[in-house]
Amino acid sequence: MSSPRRLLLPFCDDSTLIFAVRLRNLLRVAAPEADVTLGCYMPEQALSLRQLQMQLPEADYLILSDEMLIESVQQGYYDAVLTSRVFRSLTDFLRTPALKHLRGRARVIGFLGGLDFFPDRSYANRIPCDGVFMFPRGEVEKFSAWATKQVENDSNLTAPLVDFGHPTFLEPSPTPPADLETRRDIYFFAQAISPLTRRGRLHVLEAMVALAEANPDRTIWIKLRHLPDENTSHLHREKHDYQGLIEAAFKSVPPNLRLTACPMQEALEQAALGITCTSTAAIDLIREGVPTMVYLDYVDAYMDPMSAAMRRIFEGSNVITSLDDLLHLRHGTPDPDWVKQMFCPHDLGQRVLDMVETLQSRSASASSG
Amino acid sequence: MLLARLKATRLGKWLYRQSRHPRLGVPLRWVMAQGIHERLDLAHWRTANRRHNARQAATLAAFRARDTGQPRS
Repeated sequence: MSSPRRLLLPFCDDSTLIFAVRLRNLLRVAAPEADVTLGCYMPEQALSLRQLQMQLPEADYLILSDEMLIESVQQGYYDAVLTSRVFRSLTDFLRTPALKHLRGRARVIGFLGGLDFFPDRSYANRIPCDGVFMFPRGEVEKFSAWATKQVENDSNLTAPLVDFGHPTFLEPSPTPPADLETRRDIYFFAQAISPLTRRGRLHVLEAMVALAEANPDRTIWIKLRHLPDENTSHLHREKHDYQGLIEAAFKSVPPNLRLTACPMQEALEQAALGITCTSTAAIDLIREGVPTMVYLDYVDAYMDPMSAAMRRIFEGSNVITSLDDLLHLRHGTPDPDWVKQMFCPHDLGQRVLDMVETLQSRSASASSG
Repeated sequence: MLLARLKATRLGKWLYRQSRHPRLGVPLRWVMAQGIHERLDLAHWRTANRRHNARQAATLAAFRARDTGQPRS
């Protein structure tokens, strides 16, 4: 590698920001000399000041308009753009043959946004990219085969390079956290649109109230993804927020049932047990070695397409939990084979850099040929 | 689902526009907040779905009643 890599990581909401921060950490370990820049993509900006301060206390990011993002790619201000959301302007750019073929432009590498509930959509959004990182492991082959077919039918497409991984999905440590035995707090990780219905969300709240009543020596935290006034322009907008539901439907709740919007890492470091319905938090919990329950049998689950999708993704994981087991705090241990499929090795940062290198040299040899 | 189909119709779009009206939209927004529209879906009438919901509610009630012998509200 001749000069330090210049990499742009755009973000626009809490999930893309968490992705960008985590990937930046991995890249800094793999290549401390690399110039890794975070960029806030304003056309889809949905972050509150609190969220920005929490994730980026040093405010070390630049502002990206549509034009600036495209200019950065077109002019090759960066070697690569690494993104978990392939914005429309990027797709349009990469679908334009004269721009896709342009010498010296930045290469675009797309990652999945998180748990992939609807793969068809993700495949279609990422095929214009120069490189793609997929998971679980089996998706690499599936996506590659699908992309090859698409390329056969569309001469304006090229098959992206494909590799395995995501910065949130790093292999769990073989040993649980040292202080796990002494932890008492139970966290329920909320998700904005799942359970989908008000009745389903009330059912989950009632289950948490029951847990709090049965375990007065423990604190049951409802870990909010965001505060009620945040994420109002987010892709996944919350219709029935838990705080509002508690106020509207419960005369009182046990004092040991509490809400928090603390950083994810803080929750992971405090949790003796984590419960979720369809949140990617299940992955964070397993990665950090915290006992995990995925509860999918909530009331009105049949109305919620994410329940079935989560069940498909977590099939064989041994962490899908019935309500009875949840209430009695009986959790399973993640299945090692499932974990191997879902979580990638810790060398992800290096593999991302290797892909950038390959794409750059491929582009150089194409232009010199 | 029923709601998704409704949203795609002219009536659904008209209702959505009305719901944003500062005064006329108040009752519509209340209906939305209460989740009343969610209960209109035909999926709720399927036997398997009714059983599913009843089973979850019964499990929860049984757990909450285990100490007192009586279901709590």
